[in-house]
Amino acid sequence: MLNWLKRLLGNTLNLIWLPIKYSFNLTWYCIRGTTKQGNIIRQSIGVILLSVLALLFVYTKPLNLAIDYINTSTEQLSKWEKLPFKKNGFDQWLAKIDIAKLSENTFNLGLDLQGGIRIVYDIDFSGVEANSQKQALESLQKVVTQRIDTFGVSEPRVYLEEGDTTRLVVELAGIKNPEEAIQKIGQTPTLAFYKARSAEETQQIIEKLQSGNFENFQNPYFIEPPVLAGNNIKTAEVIFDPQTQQPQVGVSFDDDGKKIFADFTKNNIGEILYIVLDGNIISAPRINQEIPNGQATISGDFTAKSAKELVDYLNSGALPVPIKIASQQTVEASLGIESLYQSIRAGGMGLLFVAIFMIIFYRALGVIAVLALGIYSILVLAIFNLFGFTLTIAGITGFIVSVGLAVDGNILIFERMKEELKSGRDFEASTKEGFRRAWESIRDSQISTLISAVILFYLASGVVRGFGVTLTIGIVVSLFTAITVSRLFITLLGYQKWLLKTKFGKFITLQK
Amino acid sequence: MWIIKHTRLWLIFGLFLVIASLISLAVFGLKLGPDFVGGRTLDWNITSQPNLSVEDLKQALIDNNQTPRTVTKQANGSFRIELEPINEEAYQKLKNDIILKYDTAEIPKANIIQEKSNVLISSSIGSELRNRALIAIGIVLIAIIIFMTYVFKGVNYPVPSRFYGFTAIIALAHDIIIPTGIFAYLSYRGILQIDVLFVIALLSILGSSVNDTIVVFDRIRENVRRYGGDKFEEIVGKSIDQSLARSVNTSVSLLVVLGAIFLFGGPTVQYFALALFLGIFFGTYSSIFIASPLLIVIYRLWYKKV
Repeated sequence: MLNWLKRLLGNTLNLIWLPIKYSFNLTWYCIRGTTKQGNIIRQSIGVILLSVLALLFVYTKPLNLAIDYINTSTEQLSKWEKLPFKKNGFDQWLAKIDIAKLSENTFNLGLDLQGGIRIVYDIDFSGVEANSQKQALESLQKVVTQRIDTFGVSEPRVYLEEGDTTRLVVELAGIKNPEEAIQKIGQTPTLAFYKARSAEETQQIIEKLQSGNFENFQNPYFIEPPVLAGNNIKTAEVIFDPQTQQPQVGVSFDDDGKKIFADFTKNNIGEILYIVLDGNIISAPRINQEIPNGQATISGDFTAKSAKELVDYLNSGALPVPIKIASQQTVEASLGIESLYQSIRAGGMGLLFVAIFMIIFYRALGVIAVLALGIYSILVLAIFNLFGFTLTIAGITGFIVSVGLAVDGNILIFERMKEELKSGRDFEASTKEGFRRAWESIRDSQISTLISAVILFYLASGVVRGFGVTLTIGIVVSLFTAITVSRLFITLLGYQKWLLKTKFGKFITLQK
Repeated sequence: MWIIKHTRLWLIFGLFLVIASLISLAVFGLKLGPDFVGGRTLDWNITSQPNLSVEDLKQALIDNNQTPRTVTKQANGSFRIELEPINEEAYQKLKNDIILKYDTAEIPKANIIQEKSNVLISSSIGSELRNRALIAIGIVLIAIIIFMTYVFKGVNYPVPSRFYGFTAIIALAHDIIIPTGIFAYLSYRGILQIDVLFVIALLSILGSSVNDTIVVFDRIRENVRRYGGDKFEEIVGKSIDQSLARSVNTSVSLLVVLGAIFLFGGPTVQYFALALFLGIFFGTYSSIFIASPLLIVIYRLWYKKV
């Protein structure tokens, strides 16, 4: 989260203000309808700059090189002896400059596109009092995160999702063996207390194992089955020896455990008790006396930290609250690539079809619409990348649909322009009138689509949310490009009197 | 204007389509997919048996006490199997049994079933999604109605503004009911199931359907301002005429895109594209052949009464 914010802030503050300024200016010019020659040049610069910047956010390599260069050169500069304003802390300020880099692999792909696993767990609160639920959730998240850290997944996500009830979501992208992951997350670590073998037995078994004989494997140190299992532990806590201040671990058993433990300790004074977690011996205290009250103290070479760790282990013998898989989605990497390929192909084909349709129908104006559509696509992709949105199949579909919606604005404008031309106005006046009149319809009609998209975004969860997000971004950006970018191009087209006379450009005037 | 001349014809035809869809909905019902009822959907590529038939695999599953809801073979050669929402343990057991059944010496056991995807949705999540989908549809409907009344609040002439909104909503109902009816039939035939994406498609249709109607009504509003509302029928006809090219072209560009998704987008979004396709098509159709004729009928009734 912090990284994300840092990245966002770094990029927005340092690099984004320029295109924003230009696009604001551009929108302002277009709404006011000024079409003076001077403005056109400024607008062109604005659009080109915006597109190039957007392209840099889509293809990040050159930008990252630049950021790298700035970061290193400011650092070197800060060490320069003759640096001015050193008194005012200018060197420190320079050294502090550290612009966050954009991700090189460009887009965050969802699990359905790169493969991985997403598990949603129902949390069983029945054994937890209402006021300690929050604490239970926190420690649940902690324990699950700890377990996941052993898988070596690059960016694991563990978070809570509010629905009818609170659920725990685990997302592991690009994991190789999802089944093992499911097992390890949901697994109750087995903690147990074992009785030690006699020294001769231990010696015998070790010799047997060393000779390479693994038949009827037995643990050389303790006797199966365990005397007590971890689920008999009620609580564990760190305590300090009153005399030595040495940290110890205090354990209290439930009623069954109390009885078993009392009998066992009575009969085995002087023996070693093995405490085993997931097959690893974590502590081996000696039984000094009978313990009738179900309170045991494990002393050993504990530091405060290691004692705390053991306590955590004992307390999470089971997870703090039981969880059960409510939904699960496993996607193999190859299927993800297949889906990604299909989505890209669908998007490309969609763009191509729309382009062909627009050019056949509107000719020169169609070409403008396609140009606007191209800039639109770059802008949207740049926004996805800049804000680190995760692309899913549904998300890409939303983007493709928004391409279809984006030309709507252009079509409205072109039709209006045609009408104005028919009524005898010249090209420039028709452009102006067409835009002015179409604006209201464009606005109203996009707002109603926006309503659906935004509500979709709020109510839908998980994978489906992507559709609402990309559709919303698409609509907002398309409002901008349909009005400003295509306006600029149409005005430029208006200056090309020769083009308007050709068959290709004449289309509008032919309609008369 | 030929559209305006035959108002009754269009309205009766629309009514016929809507009633047919409602009957389809009542008779066939919507077959809800695992998104809403829970289930475990598998995508298995059984590498050791390239010629395995759907029936054989079905039988193998039944032999292991897991009667599948459906088994289909996909274009890329893998099987899509839909089971009850069985838990991980039962699933692993089933998978192992199937591996043993199709075990051949050449292929290592771990590679016999290539599990391309495995999606589990418990019944509780399913019913929660169902509720959420209904809430979402409700909220969008209310929001759109509020928006409609806002958009048309200035237009009180020649019929009160609430009738513009009312007409748009009737057209909206038409646009939603017909694709739903068609999907009821398709789900009855076992071609598809109603999933979350269908609900999303419905919500998007809600947004874009009024969109078309708004553009036509915007034109009517503008023309009424310009020419007065005396010859209302003529004005409506003229407005349709003026916005016809735009309505058709916009929806064609959307339909073209949706066609691309349907053809190339892969199985996940194929029927989503189809639902949207139908919705957009009928949305444009209704803005011309339902909303405007209905507005004229209302206008006639209104002036007969006054």
